[in-house]
Amino acid sequence: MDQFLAHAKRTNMRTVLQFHNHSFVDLITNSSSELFVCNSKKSIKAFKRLIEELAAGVSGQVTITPAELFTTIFEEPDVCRVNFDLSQYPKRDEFESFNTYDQYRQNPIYIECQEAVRAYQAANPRPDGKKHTAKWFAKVRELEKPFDERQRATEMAMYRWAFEVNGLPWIYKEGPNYKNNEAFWEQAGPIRTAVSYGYKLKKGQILLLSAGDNSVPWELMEKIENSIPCQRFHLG
Amino acid sequence: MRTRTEESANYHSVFIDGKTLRFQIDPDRPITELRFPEFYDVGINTWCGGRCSYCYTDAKAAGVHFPQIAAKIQQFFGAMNLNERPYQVALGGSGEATAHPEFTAALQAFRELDIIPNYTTNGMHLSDPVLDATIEYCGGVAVSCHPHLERHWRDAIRKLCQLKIKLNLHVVVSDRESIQQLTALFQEYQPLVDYFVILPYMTAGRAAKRPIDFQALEAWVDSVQDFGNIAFGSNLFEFLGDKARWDLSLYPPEIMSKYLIMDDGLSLYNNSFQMKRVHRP
Repeated sequence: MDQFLAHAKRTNMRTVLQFHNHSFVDLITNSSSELFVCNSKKSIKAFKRLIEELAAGVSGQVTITPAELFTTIFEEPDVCRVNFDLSQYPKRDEFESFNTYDQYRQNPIYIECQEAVRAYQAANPRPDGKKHTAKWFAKVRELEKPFDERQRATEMAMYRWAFEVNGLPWIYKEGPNYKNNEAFWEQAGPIRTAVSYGYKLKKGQILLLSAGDNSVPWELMEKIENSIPCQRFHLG
Repeated sequence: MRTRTEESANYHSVFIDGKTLRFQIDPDRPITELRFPEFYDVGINTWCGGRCSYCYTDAKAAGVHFPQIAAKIQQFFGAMNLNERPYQVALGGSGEATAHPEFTAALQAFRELDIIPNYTTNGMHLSDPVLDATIEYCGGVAVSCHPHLERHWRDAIRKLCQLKIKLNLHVVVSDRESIQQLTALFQEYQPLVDYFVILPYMTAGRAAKRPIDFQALEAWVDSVQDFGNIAFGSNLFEFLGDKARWDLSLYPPEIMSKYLIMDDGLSLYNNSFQMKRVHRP
């Protein structure tokens, strides 16, 4: 599914820290002024200062500078724009039977398709030559189609539900090209990652993605996890 | 940087550079009412010379300045450990705090306990000693923009901006005209002000009944491009309930704060407008 590649490339093998942030307040000047606008640039700025403060206390051979903290160690903090909890999806069982690795392999439609593929491959060994190989693969894909179509349909139905729950307009355009749907995947990408790695998303939650695989010194990771309520997910 | 934790309330917070970031320990449970509030609204007097006809606390020139404020601060907050102590207090909920003879001593007493004092003022008493103490001890100041005290609050804004003191403007909204005044204030002072704190007109104290034009308020907020400068009073909680588009973090009012009156009994209330008595921790 090539439309996922751009998002997958961005996240694969990295670590995401999901913070359980509740609210942010600035200067309090009156007890009746305690409800402040969340997710503003100011709350992210305060959060970055907090991470900087924790990083400054990390002893090591190399001192982490604020400049590299959000370039080579972490990406810029992101604020989650959607709520998502797969356990609330009314058609969760159906979705998972087509879309989670440990379940779709038990799906009767998948098994049937794979049996048909295996029978075809046994009767028709993979030929030589580009043209013949392309035809052979086309036939294999055709035999896999009943499952692939259901998989895609159930996945898109899940996204449609997630968009509805969040009051987002359905902007997906039919077609295989990722570029046709960049705006859609911008919103759906984090949902897909959350499904893949089994976590929930909460609107307003701060997400901190490592800049690369193992880019966060363990001492800093440990300090953040011990200082601020959060969960770590390795996007392996 | 300071941190506070109340596991029973599912609460953890960090106070850094005058800003508070709150976290749920368990993300699936809400934060519940804190046993030890994160901030207090503190009333040190009932005296005020502003003569606002709509004052919800009924402060007046016949009011009193509660005595022995610095000692009471030490008595009440000094008995707490650092995890129990609030990050900040806001003075001015019951009267014009800057007019209190012990005002600067009160600011110093708070600061010595590692509590940041802030205050709300009508701008009538911002003398040099008050401004000096503000620079030395305070996190910031809110100026109340009462229409009949325009000369005073404009002067206060000018002085506080010159001294680069963090500044909020408190604006009471009611009818369409008050929202037009808010619009004008926002346009004029946006670059200088940290937050425009929108407070609804309240029919309490000596305030006569006056309806609030919520439709006009909603339309105005919708017209603002950047919400980063706007804050809402907690008694707008119900109005804000369905305004998810404004990216607000809503939580039950008063779970983080309480209202302390520095009278002889050091009385504690839920807030400064409902005045429901609560037990001291």
